[in-house]
Amino acid sequence: MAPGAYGPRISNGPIGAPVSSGVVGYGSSAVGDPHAIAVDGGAAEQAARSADIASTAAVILRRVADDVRIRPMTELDIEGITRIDERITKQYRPEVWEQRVSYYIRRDAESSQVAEVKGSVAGFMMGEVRGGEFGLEEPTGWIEFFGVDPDVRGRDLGRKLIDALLAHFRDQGAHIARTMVASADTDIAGFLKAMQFTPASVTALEKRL
Amino acid sequence: MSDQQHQLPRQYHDAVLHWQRHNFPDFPRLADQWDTYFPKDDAFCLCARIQQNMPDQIEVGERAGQPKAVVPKELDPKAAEELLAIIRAQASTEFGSIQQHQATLARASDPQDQAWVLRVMAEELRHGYQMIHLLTSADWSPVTDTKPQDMVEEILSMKTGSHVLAAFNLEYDSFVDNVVFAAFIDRVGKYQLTMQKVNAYKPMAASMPPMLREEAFHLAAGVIPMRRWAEAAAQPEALITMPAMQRAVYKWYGRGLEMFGDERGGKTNVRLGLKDKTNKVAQDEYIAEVDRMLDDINQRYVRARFPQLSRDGADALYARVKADRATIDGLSWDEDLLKLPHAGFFRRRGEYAFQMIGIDGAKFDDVERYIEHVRDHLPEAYLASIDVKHWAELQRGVASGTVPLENALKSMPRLARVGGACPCANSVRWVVDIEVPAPVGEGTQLNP
Repeated sequence: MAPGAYGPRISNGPIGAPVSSGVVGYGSSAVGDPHAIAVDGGAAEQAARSADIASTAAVILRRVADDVRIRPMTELDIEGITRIDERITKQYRPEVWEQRVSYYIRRDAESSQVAEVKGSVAGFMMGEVRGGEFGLEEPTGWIEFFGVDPDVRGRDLGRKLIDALLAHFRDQGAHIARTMVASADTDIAGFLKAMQFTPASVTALEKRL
Repeated sequence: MSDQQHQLPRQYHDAVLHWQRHNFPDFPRLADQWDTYFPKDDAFCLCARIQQNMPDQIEVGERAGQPKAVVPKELDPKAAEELLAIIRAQASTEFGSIQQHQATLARASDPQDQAWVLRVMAEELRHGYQMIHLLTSADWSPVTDTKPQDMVEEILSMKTGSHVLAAFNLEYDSFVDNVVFAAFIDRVGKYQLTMQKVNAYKPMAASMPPMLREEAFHLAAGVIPMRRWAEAAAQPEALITMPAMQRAVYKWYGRGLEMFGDERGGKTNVRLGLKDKTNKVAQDEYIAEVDRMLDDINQRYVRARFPQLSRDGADALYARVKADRATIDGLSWDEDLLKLPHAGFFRRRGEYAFQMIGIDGAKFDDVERYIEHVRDHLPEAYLASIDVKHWAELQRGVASGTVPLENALKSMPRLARVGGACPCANSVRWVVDIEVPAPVGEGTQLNP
């Protein structure tokens, strides 16, 4: 994926779906409409793998790694997350992110992660461990919202965020992480594939009402 | 990351429930509202939670690397004494904040804000329960002659005005206080709990992570309503204005700073392995954090006040107004935006106690002018309180030399409703002996 290809990406977040056993479907979000996921897309790792620029990229990554910090999300990250969302979607939606951030903090204050670059929030990834969603009884780490500031793409933030989130999922007893991606979101799909996510054995179905 | 849940022996569990009925009558409403505001969250549990897999070795101080104590007698005697005081003070804050919140809970203008504060109160009750678990699940006789039931009795008998820390002896004037308290005072609680994660007494250290996970939501229950109020305050018909919130900030900020302890102290707790930061280090981090919090709230206000501006334009305007302390394009630093006063403003403890420092750091020579300055910046309803009257009298006494500073530092306002036994009947205790009390140290383990 070429740098600059990042933009608004929409995906569904399977939060809080009251699902009968054995039924698989998209959940209705408990924290508002499930929109606006943007993703770094793992461009840094792709760039680093490109043979002709590998050494240069490695030097750059080492340099920027020093001012990147991954930590659990707090209530003081709302404005920074809103800013990232606004840069990507061109919509200013503070109340949406207030509801979402409060939801995840309330559920598990150590789960959702943010990436700071030079002290400012430059990326976020929200998710939690739940069981029983869509008839999937095992504890599952659900990745539901994530985004990276377009200005700092290429710094491997997506990988760092997902590594931290998955580590927390493991600590919470989850042996599998799941997410859903709209078929049009090829950038997000590409990023998740690079993170070793594979197609699941469940199928997303919908019916227009 | 799992935790074990424990229930107190029946006499103490019943005492806490008895206390709740008198001091937290809205508690039963939480269960009714749970599914509306906290769908899918685990039901509230009034129990002590002990984090598993915590470090076994002391992490800081002179005994770093040695095994952590699992009973008080294994602690350095001085450490045990300090820790007992910390636990009693912590318990006091938990129960004290419920008494404060309860008084104005019904005045919330938004049902969600009210439900959030209700949950905060319930979790503070659990935190108080946790501290009672620490006091009653071990033998503290090496450091105190007070029996466990008397320590619990003392804690449950405290009321607004007789708590250990000043922040818990102020009455709320309106629901603005419920929210600003959560944003400012609960944040100090977060710092204290975080510092105590390293505590050399393992049961204390293991009590901190579950409390911290809940405390994170308490901070959101303060910050998010403030953010929304700031947006609404940009409209002319706003009920809660930026100046009203600013006055609440002036009321609470100094009390929050004082909760860290004297700025020059805290080394003993680090040396004894009870905390990992001195008072000043933690306080400086807190100040930076609340300053950032106010930046976020102010930016929300600026966006609402100047909807025609882009994100970058609004950020730039705010940055200029803050940097210059100026009024630009009608946006006034003094009139429109939230800011922290100088750390010495309206202080009664610590290095700035009674030094007559104004909101901008200017030192006053005339005590009457200083009292007038402070009163000009506090919420109007608070001005009529015994707390402000008591402070003004002390400030005059310290300034004239008739009240020694060391006496002023220890002085608390005497409120009419101080202490006492259960109000069901005079002389009845909260903790009632029962026929088959559980032995000390063996609370019921709910999920062993």
